[in-house]
Amino acid sequence: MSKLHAVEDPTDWLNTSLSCFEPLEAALRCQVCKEFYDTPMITTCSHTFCSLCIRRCFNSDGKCPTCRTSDQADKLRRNWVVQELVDTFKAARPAALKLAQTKAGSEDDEAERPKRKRKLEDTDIEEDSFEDTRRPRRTRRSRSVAHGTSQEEPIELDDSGDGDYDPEEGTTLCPICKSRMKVGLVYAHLDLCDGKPVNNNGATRARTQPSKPKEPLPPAARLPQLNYSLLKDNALKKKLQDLGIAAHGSRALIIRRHTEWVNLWNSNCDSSRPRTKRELLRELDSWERSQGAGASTVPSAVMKKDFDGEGWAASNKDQFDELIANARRNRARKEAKTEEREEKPNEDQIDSMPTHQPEQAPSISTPVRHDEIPNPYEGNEKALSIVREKVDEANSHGRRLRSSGQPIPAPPRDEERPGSINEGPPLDEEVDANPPISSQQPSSQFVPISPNVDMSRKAHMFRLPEDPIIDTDGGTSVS
Amino acid sequence: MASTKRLLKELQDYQRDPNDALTELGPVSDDELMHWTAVMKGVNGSPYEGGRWKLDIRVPSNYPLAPPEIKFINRICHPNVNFKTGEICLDLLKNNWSAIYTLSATLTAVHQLLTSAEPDSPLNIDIAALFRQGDIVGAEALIRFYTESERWEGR
Repeated sequence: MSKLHAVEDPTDWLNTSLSCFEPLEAALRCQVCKEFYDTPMITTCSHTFCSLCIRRCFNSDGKCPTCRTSDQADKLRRNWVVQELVDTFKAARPAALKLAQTKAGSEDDEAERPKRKRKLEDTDIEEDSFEDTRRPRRTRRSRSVAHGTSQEEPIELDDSGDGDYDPEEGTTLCPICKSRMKVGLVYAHLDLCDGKPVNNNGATRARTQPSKPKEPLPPAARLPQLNYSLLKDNALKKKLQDLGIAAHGSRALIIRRHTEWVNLWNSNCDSSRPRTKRELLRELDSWERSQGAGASTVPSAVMKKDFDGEGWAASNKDQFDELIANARRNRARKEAKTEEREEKPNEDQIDSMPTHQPEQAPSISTPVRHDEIPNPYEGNEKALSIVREKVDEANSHGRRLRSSGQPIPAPPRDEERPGSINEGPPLDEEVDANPPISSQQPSSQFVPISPNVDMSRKAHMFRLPEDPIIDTDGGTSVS
Repeated sequence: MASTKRLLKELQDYQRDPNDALTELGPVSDDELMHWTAVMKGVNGSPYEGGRWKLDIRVPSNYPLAPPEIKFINRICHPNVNFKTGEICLDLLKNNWSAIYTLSATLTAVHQLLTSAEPDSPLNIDIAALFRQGDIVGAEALIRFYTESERWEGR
């Protein structure tokens, strides 16, 4: 949950006095990544997305995500107005949100209620009374309209409330590092400034910006998409090396990496604030870790495997240890009994048999074999420590350690559930009334063709005529 | 990383602005952001009324460019849902996926599928056959039976 509070979202406005800003902010965000538009581009079908988002979408299916019109990355055009809207809104957002929240909050104090739980109507009423004191000629009758007026108020106060604003010059001071920059840039700058506590970062960044033209910026030339099927492996690798990006991995991976690089590069060319090649490479690196070499082409399967192994081993470690300890103790007791009756060699066998890991059998049996150790439990204790080591080792392989016990039941439940379903009576038996149909139309015929259930239900790619069904009732065979 | 960020936003969005079709939606645990579950309500006024279904949602690493994999965990009797595996036959989850759909919106589409079944491309042939033969009474009775008997009660 704590992660959530760091996420900026249109719903931030929902419980404030400016709840009508929620759709406004939603409109200024890319539909694909749900972030504020970053280098907005307009398609030929007049939809706007972040440059990188829409390029990735076109790469994956060549269609506009909103209307599914076929389009190409070459036909994208910048949408400067949207860029400006986003920049100015982002700059105004923190102050406006703070105001909207504190306004709601101060009234909360009057009402002695927790901040988050308040209702909008309360706000309206209290705000109304507040306005009544200021403007006496306002009538109670207008309470229902107060919602609309209350939304104007913070906007008026907005400019005066923002202390760092310097409208004459169009620049502002970063509240953290005190460096001066354009209003539109301060928001992006604040993100970086927050990360590192002291002024240095912001200052260097402010310095690097004017000096940027001198740096070897990526030239404006966009990279062309390659026709990968025309290129042999070596030629393709050469291309990647020429571009200065890693060329290892399978062909499929190389192709995906190149595609991603072209997307990153070209969207950077679109940007009004282009980044250096090093930053782009860093971005490619993070892509590589999340979706490149690290992730396979069937991510969900791998994910499932990872989940079961790590999560279960890590979170059940205590139980494991306890069970193992119990098992050993029981075994030891049994052995103690058999020891009385039988001879040593037999005991060795008994001891080595129950161990689940065969390679550990010798190490366990050795201490028991010595006659000077009277109590076999001691030997088992040693074996136990070995098992503990193994478990620790297995845990150390896991990337994440879970502190909470919550995830334990989830994976087994998922595994059990389908199994138990399979054991239950199949539906076929329930609808025995019409066996000819179910036998003549095996599901394999339908499944591959089936993904055309259109939500609009207008037209079907595949429709069976009525007649054959009637025929099947009659018993004639239709395939 | 793009997918993680977006999923966090979706989670926050759902928590502040819940979906009427669902009683819960979220990752299985705080660490497992790519594996979600949801519990869906039945549609009032339909044979599915009063039902509760648990859904398993696997989010691919290149989400939202690729659709999530959604499956019913407990059994549902529906022409376009595989009775045994819970696989859903919905174009939205396959060819017609678009990056602008959120998990919540996708589940709304699955919810709509309950009342707008497509018996002509069935995954559950038996119930589809009943529909195609016009045995609405029989089909709805069967659906009601399974909606009641397979209702998801667990937490």
